[in-house]
Amino acid sequence: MARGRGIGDRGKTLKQMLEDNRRLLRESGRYAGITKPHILKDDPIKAELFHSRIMSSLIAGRETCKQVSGSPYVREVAELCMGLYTPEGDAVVQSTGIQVHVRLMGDNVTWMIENNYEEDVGIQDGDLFLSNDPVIAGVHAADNYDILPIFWKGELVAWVCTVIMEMDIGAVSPGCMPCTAVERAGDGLKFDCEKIGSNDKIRRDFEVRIEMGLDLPDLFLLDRKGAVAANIRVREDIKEIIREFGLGYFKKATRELIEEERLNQIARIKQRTIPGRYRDIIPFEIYMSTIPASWLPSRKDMIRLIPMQMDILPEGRLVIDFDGIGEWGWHAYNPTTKALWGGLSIAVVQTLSYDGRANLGSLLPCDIKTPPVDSLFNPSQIKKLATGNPWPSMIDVFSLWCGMLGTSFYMRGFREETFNYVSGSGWQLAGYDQFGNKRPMLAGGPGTFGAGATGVCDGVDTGGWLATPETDVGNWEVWELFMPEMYMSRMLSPYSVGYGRYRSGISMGTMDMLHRLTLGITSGAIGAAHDRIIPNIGLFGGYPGGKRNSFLVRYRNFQDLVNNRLPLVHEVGHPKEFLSYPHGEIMYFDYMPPCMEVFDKDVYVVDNSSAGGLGDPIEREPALQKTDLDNGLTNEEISRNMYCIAVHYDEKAKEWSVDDGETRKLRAAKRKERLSRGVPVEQYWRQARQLILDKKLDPLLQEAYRSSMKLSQGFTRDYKDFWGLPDDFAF
Amino acid sequence: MTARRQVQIIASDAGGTMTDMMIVDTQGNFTIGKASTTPKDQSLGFWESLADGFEYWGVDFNKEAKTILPGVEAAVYSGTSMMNALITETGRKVGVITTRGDEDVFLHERSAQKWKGYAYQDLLHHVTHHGNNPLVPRRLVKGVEGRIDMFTTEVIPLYEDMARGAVEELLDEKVDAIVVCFLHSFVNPAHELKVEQIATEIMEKRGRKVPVYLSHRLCPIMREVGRLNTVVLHAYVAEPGREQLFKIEERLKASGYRHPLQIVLAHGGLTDIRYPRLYEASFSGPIGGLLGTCYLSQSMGIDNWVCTDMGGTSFDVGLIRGGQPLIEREVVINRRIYNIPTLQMDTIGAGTGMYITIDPITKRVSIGPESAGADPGPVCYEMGNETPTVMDCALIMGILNPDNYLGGKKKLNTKKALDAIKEKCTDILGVDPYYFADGVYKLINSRMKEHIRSVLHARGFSPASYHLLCYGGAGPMHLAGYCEGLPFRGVATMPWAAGFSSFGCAAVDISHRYQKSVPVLIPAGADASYKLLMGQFLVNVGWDELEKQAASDFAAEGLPWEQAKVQQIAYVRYGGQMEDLEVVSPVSRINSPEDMDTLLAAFEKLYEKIYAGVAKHQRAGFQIMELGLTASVPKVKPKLVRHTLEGKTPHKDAVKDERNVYYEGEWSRAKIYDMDRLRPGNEVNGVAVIEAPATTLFLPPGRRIRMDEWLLMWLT
Repeated sequence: MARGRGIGDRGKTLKQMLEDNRRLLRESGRYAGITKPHILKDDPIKAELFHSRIMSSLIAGRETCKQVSGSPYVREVAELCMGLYTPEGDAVVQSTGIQVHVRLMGDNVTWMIENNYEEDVGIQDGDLFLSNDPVIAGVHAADNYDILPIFWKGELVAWVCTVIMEMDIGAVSPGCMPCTAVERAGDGLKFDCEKIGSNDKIRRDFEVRIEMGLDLPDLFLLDRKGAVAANIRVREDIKEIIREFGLGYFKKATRELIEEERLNQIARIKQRTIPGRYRDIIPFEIYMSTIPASWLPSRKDMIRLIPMQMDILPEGRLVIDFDGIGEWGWHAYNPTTKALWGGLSIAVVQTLSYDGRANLGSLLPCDIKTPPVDSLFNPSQIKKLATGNPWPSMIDVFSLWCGMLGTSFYMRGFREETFNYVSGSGWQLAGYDQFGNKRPMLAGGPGTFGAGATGVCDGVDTGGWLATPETDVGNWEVWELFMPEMYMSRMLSPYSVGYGRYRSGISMGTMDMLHRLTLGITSGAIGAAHDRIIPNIGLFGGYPGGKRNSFLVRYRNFQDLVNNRLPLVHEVGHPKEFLSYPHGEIMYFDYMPPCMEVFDKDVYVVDNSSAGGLGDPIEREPALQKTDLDNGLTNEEISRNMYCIAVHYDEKAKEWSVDDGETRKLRAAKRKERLSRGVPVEQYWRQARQLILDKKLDPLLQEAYRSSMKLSQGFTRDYKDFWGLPDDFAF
Repeated sequence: MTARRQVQIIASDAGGTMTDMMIVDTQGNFTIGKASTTPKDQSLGFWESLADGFEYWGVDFNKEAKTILPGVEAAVYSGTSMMNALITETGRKVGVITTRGDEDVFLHERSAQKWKGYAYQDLLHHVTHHGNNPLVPRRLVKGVEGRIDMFTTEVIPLYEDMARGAVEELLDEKVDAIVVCFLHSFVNPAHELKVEQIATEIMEKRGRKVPVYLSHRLCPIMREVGRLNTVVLHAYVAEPGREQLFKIEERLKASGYRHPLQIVLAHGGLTDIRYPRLYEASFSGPIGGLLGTCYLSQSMGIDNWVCTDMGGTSFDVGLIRGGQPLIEREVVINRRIYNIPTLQMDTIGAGTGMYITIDPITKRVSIGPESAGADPGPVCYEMGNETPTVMDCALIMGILNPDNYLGGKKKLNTKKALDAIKEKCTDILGVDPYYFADGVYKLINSRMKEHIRSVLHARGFSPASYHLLCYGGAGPMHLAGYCEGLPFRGVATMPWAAGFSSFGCAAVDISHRYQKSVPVLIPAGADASYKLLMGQFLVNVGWDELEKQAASDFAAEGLPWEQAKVQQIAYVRYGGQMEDLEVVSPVSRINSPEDMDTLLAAFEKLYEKIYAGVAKHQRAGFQIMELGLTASVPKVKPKLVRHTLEGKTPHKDAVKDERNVYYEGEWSRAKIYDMDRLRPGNEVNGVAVIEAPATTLFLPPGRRIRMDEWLLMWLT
């Protein structure tokens, strides 16, 4: 193409197209300045045909990727997704899969345009681009975006992108979501919209770089090949669609799909929610004092407050504000501002836009106010920091958001739509595996969490995971091919539950015994957000899920133990009882496990928490509890103590029964006890205020408030106003 | 009568409601009988459908059974009876012994079973996810300590006292069967065998014997969740189903039938009902059409077919390539995952019973995923449903004849369908109801077309190499729409489309299939001696083992092993990949390094065809994680009769009527034909509707069908 002539619509450069598109949105408030989606409305049947053609292609492409891929995340956990984007990088249609990336994949394209790729790098038919830098767009470097332009007669008419989460990206040990990384280099290899191939072929020098730079190069390269093959397949389908529908229709309809979805999203918000201000807060705990990082300033523990305010405006818009959030730190948990859109995308798709039409339009009625500069969510030095593990704060924040939105649904009468999620935990590992290869390892566990209760029934047991609706823990026999481990437990944990009139789903605990590991270090992975301070994510009197605990079991002499047929660990049960296991040392971590050396036959244990219950537990229907008891999902102690339900086990009938009379008595006594414990609000307020004035809060908590007050005058004012503190008060 | 017509095959297809029976004589003529399925004693429905079928030939079967049955060469059963028992959860009381720590397997369900099989919108909508009711209650699942690793090494010895306790407790619970499934038992079954021995000893002492099913013996395939589900399925519904099959056989033999009753397996095989892995027959219902197509393929010399089956709730697409169907090894049936080799059948929700709704917010037209099914059925059935369906649209467009549905046995109310479409859809959208119905017709056709396209493309195939065959009662009505624009070599349906599945069951050969997991790793650049070592000590030993098992099964069934056609299969992938491809081995054993190269080259050729060339990755080496083997012998089949071609113009008796049909935005005058009166060689041009009692073929303007000498109707 001659210099000076763009590759976009009617010879425009992509940059001109992007600027025009933004101006039109700014001036008209409508995507691409479309006042009315008329091509779609004029012939709704044709519009459905058009959309379903693209969607079918993306779903088939995603299946292609799964077949070629080498990653257990792809095959066993389905951590991948595909999308079609406009030339400017705006999402048009998404496949099934992990819905975090609706906007993020396209933001990479937008970044390429803004950074003059058209002129300086060149964008041609068959070029392959790869990106995984969350500073550009993304959540963490483990998520890799393969991007392919789609040309029609020399004009770039769309982009197709595939995202896959990788187990190995060359991050500092122990894993792909490193909690020991505190500086940028620790995150591993970064690809900043890098051209990795042309003419539909990956460059050999790129392959060499991967072969030299990663412990698991074949896995990474097979995933690239799967993604590229899938992108090529979709590109060819899109060309066929253009042939059938015409280029003019394709261009108009792809844009109208976005504007139509924007309008639909506004209508959904108006229909299902009640306008108003919704506020909540989570404390985010970060324990770095024992992390072996060479950058010494990182070695300190801290708590950061993350307040979240959601304004639902009468015109059907959502505005999210993190004002009051604390400062960033030298750790891997700093999300970029782009990453926040990933969290919002996945939450929006599962609560509002689940009808298969999710695209950029789903997010246009939503706004995330730029978090204060130098806060945890907006460090000015972000390029220097590690960003490898931002999910802990993100999952907690957007799980909280689901609960806030759920509250609004409930008030509007959509009780069955009310629910929330919880963040989870896991361990990651680095070492020499069963084949003698040094490598990072992260076992699948995201499918293990119990989802929040809805307004009409108990939450689903296991499988409640904000990051993807297609939760899957896979098969042990497959995971054991990849990990030097033997899986010892997938038992549902009765104590994980968020109690309530409707309980949360029940989470699965996991116990993994290291096996044929010659040298290993381990640490906690995702979900380090709230270990010692549990945020109240129960709704309308429902309890939050049980406390999450982590343990490391070191058997005294494993071989003697099994030779003598002595019991091994398989269930945590009540955490206090678990600690009394007699045949080994039990190390207990009430927060994210630190980095430490582990040995063959050590067992690392995650006793997960579930999301929130809904309603007062003592209003729970006893019949529901009986079903849980018969299924072995709870026990007599919980029934009596948490729900005030008296139950008996009939040995002969092999089932539980409820004593209705005794239950009534227990519940009456509980109500009395609550009344006797209660104090007037004013009295409580005075007592708490005195603690603040006397600075008797935990030092970490005082530092957290100081950090938030430093960044926000509004937060400081609200705090002092509420507690009636003097103007010169400071932590 | 029987002197004139010697009956050779009787083949049933027992559905949840009706049992179809295909009766075939030695001349290849056939008739189809129907009767209500009788779940408590399936021999009653089997017998009644036989009697109904013979009635079409003027034979009183109840009187002449003892004359007819001694001459029958094969009686075949296929059906959904086991599936129905699974859906209604009315199987046996089963106890499970599994690896300690995985006792909650039926509660956690790998998490994936809480959404598998969902439509897109429910998949994303988390509050719709829910667990299955466990087929085995938690208290009947016992964990026993003991661990084998992936390298076959015993890491934790079996805690035998624990195993004894588990067996005792399950027997105390009076279970009807015990399933044993330990991790990695498919590479080292020692612990499962020990538990079997312990259970046998205990049962002898207690004087009560229940069957014990070991996972490595019934399903020696990696992926424990699907393996355990499969063996539980076997104990829960397949074995009790065998008792029903014996009843059918008993009743047939009492009237002189001389052979064992045969049963169709999900992978297309046919076997004696005494076959040990009867679970393979659990999902055989929907595959009859594929088997029938295989037979057509052989008779007509056409190798590649896309088989399409449209019913009230779903649209199934299967492929026949080189005369053979494709197999998948992990299937999701009724929201559970099974390791059962099954004829590949990709299904989407697209049926005539699907509801049509308008989203109150987006005003989008939505088809399904729910279906009105047979009860309450579409609005036009007048059985209480007031939400319009795809079939209601076809009715108001004039494609369906309100007086000819099921041969006129069921009258359809066109006005009611029109009113419902107006009230629930077109008044909201402000569009014409006929335009709308036409649009829905196009939409569902497009959905099916895209499904066909993606099934082909996902495997690297092009329509240009395939013929398309349409069957199932609803298929012909939509055929012209769902194949439009796809460049197939030919598109056909047949007058007996509604009964084609039972035809397929009658046409299948006796065939068994065996699989076994193996750990064959061939690194890039492996030398010749290493390749030979892997081939001889893992691949050949595996195939030997499978062949030995096949020979033993053949002997048990009295089948001639020396006549068996044996085919070796390997499942090959690049090193590190998670999925593999089924490669029909070009060599029967690896006797040289070159033999291994030949096998791997066959894999790469297939791989490159399916995926783009960029996806090849020889640098990672190769893995063979599973071996397979099929063994088959021919059996008698219905003969497809080649008729003499007659003139192009149908006889005037074939033209029934004329009526208005709405299509592509206008009303046209369509000729109505009686399908049963069309003759070989006849041609019909659109706009036309060709009616049979159980199906309706719609020909839009510009389309034509021609009936060939095999009675297939080719659409052009």
